[in-house]
Amino acid sequence: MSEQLLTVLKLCLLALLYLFFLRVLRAVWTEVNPPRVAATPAPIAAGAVSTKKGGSSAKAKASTAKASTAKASKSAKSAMNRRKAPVVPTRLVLVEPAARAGAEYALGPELTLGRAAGCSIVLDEQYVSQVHSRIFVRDGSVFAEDLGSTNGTWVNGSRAVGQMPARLGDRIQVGNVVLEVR
Amino acid sequence: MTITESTTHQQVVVKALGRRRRTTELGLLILAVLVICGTYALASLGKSASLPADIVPFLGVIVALPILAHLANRKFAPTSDPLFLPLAALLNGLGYVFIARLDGDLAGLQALWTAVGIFGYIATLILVRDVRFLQRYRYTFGLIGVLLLIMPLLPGIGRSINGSRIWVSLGPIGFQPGELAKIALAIFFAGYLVDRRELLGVATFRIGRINTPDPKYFAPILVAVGFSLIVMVFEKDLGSALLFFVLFIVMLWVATGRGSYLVVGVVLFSASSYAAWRMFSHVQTRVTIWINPWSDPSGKGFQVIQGAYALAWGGTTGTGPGLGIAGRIPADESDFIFAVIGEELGLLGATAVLCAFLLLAGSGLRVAQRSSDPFSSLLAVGLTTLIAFQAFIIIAGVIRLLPLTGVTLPFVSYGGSSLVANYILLALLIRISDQTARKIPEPLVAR
Repeated sequence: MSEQLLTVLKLCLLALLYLFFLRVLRAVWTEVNPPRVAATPAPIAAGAVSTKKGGSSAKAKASTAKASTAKASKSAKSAMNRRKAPVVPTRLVLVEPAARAGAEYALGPELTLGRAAGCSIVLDEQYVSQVHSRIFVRDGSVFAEDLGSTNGTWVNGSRAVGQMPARLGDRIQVGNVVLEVR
Repeated sequence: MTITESTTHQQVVVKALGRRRRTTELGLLILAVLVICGTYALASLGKSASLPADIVPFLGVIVALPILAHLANRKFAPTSDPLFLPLAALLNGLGYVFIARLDGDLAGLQALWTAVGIFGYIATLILVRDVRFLQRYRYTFGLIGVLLLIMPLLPGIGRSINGSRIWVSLGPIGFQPGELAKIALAIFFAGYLVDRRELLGVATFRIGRINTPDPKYFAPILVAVGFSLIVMVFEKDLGSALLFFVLFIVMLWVATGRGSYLVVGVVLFSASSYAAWRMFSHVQTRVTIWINPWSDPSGKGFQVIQGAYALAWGGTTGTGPGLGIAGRIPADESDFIFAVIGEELGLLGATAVLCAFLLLAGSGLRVAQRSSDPFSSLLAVGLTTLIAFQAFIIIAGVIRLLPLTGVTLPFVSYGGSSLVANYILLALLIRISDQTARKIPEPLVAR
């Protein structure tokens, strides 16, 4: 086998190797910018499913809303907090369910939330447990803690484990009720 | 639109996506197989001037196994990302060709291990149908990881090879449990940090004038990390210790979004490397060889110098597969396989290997970014860090960017445990990407 032929074959092999990588890059491109036909209806369909699913609508909506808006606002606001003079959160504003949106509750050293009449904030909703969670203020920071509820307490879309800190603008979800820290 | 209509519509979209991705995967796999077969043919031409006689087992490994994995993807993870498998198959196949060219006996074993790896891959896909299932057993995985790490230190089954006590031999089979321990510990980190990331991101505890997160949230993971690092130092497994430390810092940083953890990590790393350098003679040897390998060119520096010569001899396009001076570098089929590839395929071939790792890492991070479930996302980051950083550590060691620490080049090097562990890791990434594409909603319970 002559040396020239081997060299030519070697160069062909390297070309084939890089052809493979070109194809991979093209695959990456279609992954990042998927073809229109398949991609456009997907978010609409996902939204439609979540809103139509009766009971889970509140949660699904809340979680999608949180995923996009609340997280962005959280990081922006907390960044603002660190630089400017700190604004101490004073109240909770009800965001969901829409029927009761706008209701305000003053934050205190110790609040309990739930359906039971003895709670400091009584939330008579289907997905709220009798004594669902507690929200308390320590050194100017707000903490939320789940009290063994069925559907959990969530801060900005992640489930509260132990005492979960919540900053100004964060959203605390109790069953299907969403409260914003103001 | 009714519920059924919209659900079926979504199913149609997901199905179309799956079909597109599997077609892409198959196309890329075929191309990868062509590249590997071409390299093999050329290597045997160069080595013995005749076409390979033992082509049947070779074809089995190179063609049948990736196609088997592809079929498993079609069945068990139809909408998963199409890039992982072809890239892994290319790396594995190229590695196999060079191992076969260096040592025929090892090639047979490597073929066997590749088969075991692919079966591990398929078994993982079948067993782990939902990644969140792993989150439930995070502490179990933490324990398993630590136990696997200790195994080589146990008398009777532990073996010390080339100065590192990282081997366990049970009967005729020898393996490195540390490779599997990395995956188990990555699962533990992801599970633990997802629970506590908010708490670790907020400074509520004061030590002097510094605010830090409350130590009671910190302590368990610090104990696990400290213990693992101490075990690895005792086993003289510096590469794994470095990899493990980076994994921990990266996952902590990603989970909390606090850049300060990176700073703390760099400070801790510098302090502990300095301490290790002062305390252990084998660390000093590594550093000396790194700075000046010509201080002992025929002894301790021999391997590094021969690696550098091999890369230089390769030039831009290499000597051609099978035409390099084989068997000159110690551990050329495991730690130094990158130098062999650099010699015989040149700068272009070595760059191709780097590209493959870059694209693997990119795909892994894309999966992590797209996943809406925090645990899956963090786990994907951890697993990607494991592959990418391990490749970085050993390649940097070979080209003298870092002191040489012996870890395998994922998928490429000869090594059964590493190959099996990396295929399992790949299966987990595939599972996460499949789940992300299908988006399974969590049920809400009425009370």
